[in-house]
Amino acid sequence: MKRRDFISKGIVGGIAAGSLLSIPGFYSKAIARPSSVQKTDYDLVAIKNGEPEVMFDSAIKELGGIGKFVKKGQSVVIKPNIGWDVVPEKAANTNPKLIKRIVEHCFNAGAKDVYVFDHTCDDWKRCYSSSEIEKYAKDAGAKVVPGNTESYYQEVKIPKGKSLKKDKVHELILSSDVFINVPVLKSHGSARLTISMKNLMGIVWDRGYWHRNNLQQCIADFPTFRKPDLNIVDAYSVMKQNGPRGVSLADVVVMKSQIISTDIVAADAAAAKLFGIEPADIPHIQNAFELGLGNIDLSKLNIKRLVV
Amino acid sequence: MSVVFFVPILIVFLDLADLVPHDMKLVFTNIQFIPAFLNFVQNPLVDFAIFFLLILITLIFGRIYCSSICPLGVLQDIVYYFVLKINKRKRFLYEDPKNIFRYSLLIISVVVFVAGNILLFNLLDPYSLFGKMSANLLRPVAMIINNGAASVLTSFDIYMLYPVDIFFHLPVFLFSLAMLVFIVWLVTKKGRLYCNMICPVGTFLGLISRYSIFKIRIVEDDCTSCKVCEKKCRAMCIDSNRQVIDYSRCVDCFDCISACSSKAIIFTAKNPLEKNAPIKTESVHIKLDMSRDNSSIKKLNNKKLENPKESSTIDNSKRDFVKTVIASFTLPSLILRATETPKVYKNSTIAEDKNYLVTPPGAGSIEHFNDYCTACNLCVTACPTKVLQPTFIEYGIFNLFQPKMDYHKGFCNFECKICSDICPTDAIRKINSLDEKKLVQIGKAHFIRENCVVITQGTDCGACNEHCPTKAVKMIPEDKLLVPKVEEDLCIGCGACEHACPTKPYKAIYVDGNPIHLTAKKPIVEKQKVIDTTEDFPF
Repeated sequence: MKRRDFISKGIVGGIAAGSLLSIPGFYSKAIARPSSVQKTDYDLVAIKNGEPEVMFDSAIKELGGIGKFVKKGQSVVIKPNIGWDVVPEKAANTNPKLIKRIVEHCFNAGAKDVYVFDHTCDDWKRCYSSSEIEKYAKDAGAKVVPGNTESYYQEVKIPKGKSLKKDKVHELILSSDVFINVPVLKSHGSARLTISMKNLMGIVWDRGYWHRNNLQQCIADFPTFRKPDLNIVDAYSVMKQNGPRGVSLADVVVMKSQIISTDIVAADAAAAKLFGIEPADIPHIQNAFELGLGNIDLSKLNIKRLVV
Repeated sequence: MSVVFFVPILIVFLDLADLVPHDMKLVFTNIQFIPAFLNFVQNPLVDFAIFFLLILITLIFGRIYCSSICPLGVLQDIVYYFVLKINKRKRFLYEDPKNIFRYSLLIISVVVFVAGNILLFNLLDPYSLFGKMSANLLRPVAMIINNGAASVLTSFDIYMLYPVDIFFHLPVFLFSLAMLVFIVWLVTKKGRLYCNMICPVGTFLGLISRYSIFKIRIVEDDCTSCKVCEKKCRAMCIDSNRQVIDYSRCVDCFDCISACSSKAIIFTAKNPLEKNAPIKTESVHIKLDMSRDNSSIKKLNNKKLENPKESSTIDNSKRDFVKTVIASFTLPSLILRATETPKVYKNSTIAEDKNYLVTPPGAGSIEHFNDYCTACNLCVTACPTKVLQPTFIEYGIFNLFQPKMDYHKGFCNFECKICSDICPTDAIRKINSLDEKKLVQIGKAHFIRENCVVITQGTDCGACNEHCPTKAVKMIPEDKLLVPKVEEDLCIGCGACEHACPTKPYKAIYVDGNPIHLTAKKPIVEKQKVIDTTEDFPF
């Protein structure tokens, strides 16, 4: 086959495959994997006063190790916040050292492939590089994958959503066995705070739709389609104002904290408290609780508190 | 030698992954004649070296610029190579120069430029024309190939290549295509006639090359007037019967030297009639060098043949474009059909009131930008966020194709000033530091409250504030919601707010250009209190 034929056939085939996959719900039924939330000793682990990677080592041990979530031969997708073209000190993106350590844990547990991506706000190549996440994740052997091309996104139905009934989701979220969500805790001009649930805006294609159609409800609606298997909230350096992008280093305070939970609502509630805001005052956390996605009342949870 | 100049400039325009350092790109674009001339005009005391060097080279060796440095010249030679492949007996014959036409075109170009309009350089300058062709014809082809390869690799779980967004700008695409077709046709019929009739650079350098020291000269005693050289001459400037060469049109291709069987054409500083033996031997050396140079051109052409990516640009571009057009019409319609949803959102009602286009930081003012931009499209290809897009007649019919900041395509990356680093004509002047760029106010954001989601829907949005790098867009509490408010002093006009604003069909926040760029106030810095991390968890 000549190269030219190959390309033309490729285009035709691509259109055919694309139109098949663009039938709503096709991809989610055929390929997407269900989330499988694991039983752990604690509902939530909170840890402070250590370096990000050291805190993760200790905290994940309390949940039974990453092996509880990642089995031999499985594929893992890690979703950090890599939204902005800024350096790690500005704390607009997840700590790169934490990402590296999580990747290492996954491979130690026998993961076949570990993917890292985000649908960034600034130019993705610059975000991947300035955040240093690309470098650290690759060092640990992960595949760093682009997230800013529509062809990677597949249409799915979100039947339990109130405002968000369907969306286009990155194919790696749909095809990977394990989904680990690694947000960074930040102030946020529209969502008030960005933590675990808000971080999932970086795995869908059309953020504008969420913004137009009741943002706080859409953020809560999405996890009814797919909850991450594990949420690791990076609260080492925290942007207290001018989030999510930040203006200067003056916006950042050092909190040296981390929260890990399989319960996305609980993780966000605990992180909100850490930030100094009542979880119920963050509309999307309250909305998610009302959808039955997790527990907003931390007093009802079995929490392990650690200090390094 | 052509390879040395042509291949890099091709790479500069086709560098999809932005791998080549910008300083290196500049080396190859700044030596182009019109960019060098425009740099000289703007800053005669600093940027004179390249301009005078180009003139000096012409004064010594003739139109080397046209044979080797000019990318459009080399492109024509590549086309000519294929013409010869197809029609082995392709011959030219001497024609009289089109003096009235070419000199009036040159004079008009210069007069119009002096009068403050760059249109004719924009349309006729060979470098800018080649830039338009590369950016709008070659680059999309390269992108399609890249995207095809990327999707194939991705299906094998290899993410080495990544897909790129292809933007298709019809007017400049059609112009580039028309010019390419026109030039290919000219080459087929009349060789390098573009360079000798239309190109203002060629005509100007022709005025100098009449008096150049080294020239191709016919040794009258050895010449049999066999017309071989005349038929070979792609500039159609050798009159074999009269044994005369029109030096204003010779583009230094040296085909005649290798074609002449009686070795009656030599490249030398002195008139051979004076019969000076030492000079003649010297000229033989040069002759050998030149024939080697000639073979290197052939090698280049062969290389082009072997390399499918480049050869396809000649053969397949049209075909691939038809495919792109079809694909670009089919895919969106499929996507559109797939995303139809029950309408919750209320459409925005008030149109944006934009008075001025936004020019890139470094342009200084719309006027300066309009005066010096030749629309080579280099910044358009280099811009990482694709916010720089070619226009058609938005700047006026005398400022065709000059780029603008298009906030529907992207927004100006806060940490980037590539366009100002890379512009070869200094239409976008170099900004020394990123800190300086971050205060250049190219426009100001305006908020239309009545269009805003927070007002029309009564739900949170704040996409504008989220993206704003200086926090010129603040969120002000109103009831339980937060409503945007613009502080113009802090705004730099980057367009992040406008790009992110989700309202349809009109945006609730938009940037109106500053006709003259201003300096924004520094963002307000409020230091956060240090937190005592030894306290207990608050839960």
